[in-house]
Amino acid sequence: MRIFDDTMSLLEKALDLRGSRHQVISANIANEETPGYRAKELRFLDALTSASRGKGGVALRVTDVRHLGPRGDGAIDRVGGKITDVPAGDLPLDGNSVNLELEMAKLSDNAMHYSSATSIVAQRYRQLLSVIRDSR
Amino acid sequence: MDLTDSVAISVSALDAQRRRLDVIASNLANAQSTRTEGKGPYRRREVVFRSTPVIPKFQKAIRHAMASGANKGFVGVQVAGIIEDHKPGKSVYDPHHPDADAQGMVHMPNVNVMEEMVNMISASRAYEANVQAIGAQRAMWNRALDIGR
Repeated sequence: MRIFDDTMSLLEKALDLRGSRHQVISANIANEETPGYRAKELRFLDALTSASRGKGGVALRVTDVRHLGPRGDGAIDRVGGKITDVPAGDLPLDGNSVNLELEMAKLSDNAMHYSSATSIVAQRYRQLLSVIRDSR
Repeated sequence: MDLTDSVAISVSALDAQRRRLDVIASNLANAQSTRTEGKGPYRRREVVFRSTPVIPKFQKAIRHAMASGANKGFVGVQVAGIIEDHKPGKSVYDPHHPDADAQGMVHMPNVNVMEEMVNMISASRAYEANVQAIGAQRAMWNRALDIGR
């Protein structure tokens, strides 16, 4: 049995990506009044879900050790997330597509997901600790 | 991990919004100034924002060493410049005013106090939003530190 299973690497990756997403949201809030700025979004949930289900997007068969690409173990580690422009409908005159209310909602949503992931990680460590202690 | 970058981004916005508030304060203070160092009444000023990459020097050095390149899309904001508004100001009939012209008209600054107040609220709300972003970042850091407890 592996102590650090897929759950751990999934949570680790989720924390990493949530940290990056926070950065993207901060940039949107900072540029709330910059003319011509387009709001950006970091998308990773679909990629992370399929990686955790073992699909890893497109699974490539490996016939050589030097082959690159998502496959088998560690597919989760390779999820990077994608930065895209938020589709903007009618732009105001200054061409800025940041919706401050939406960004603030995303900010707290992201922070809450981050917190829940850290709680689960901490819980897992406590489980391990109690297993180690009780075996004595 | 690049958590400090988001604080740098928010701080750049705090700085920019504070400078905007400085300019608004100057406009409000000079709403009645009919004389300036140049000539004529005060002209209202306005800041122009520009998005700019903000990467702390230390991180820049590390990234350069790791050759991973700077992240695209993560940009802060800076004040690109302060421009003067050239729209005409009001003229008020006040023949006893020392700056009145031959017709008794005084040229007043082109500052609209209501407009400045609206800008002021907008700037302080934007400032608050960025403070919130830093607060959320701090909460995330604290949660991450709690993992080991």
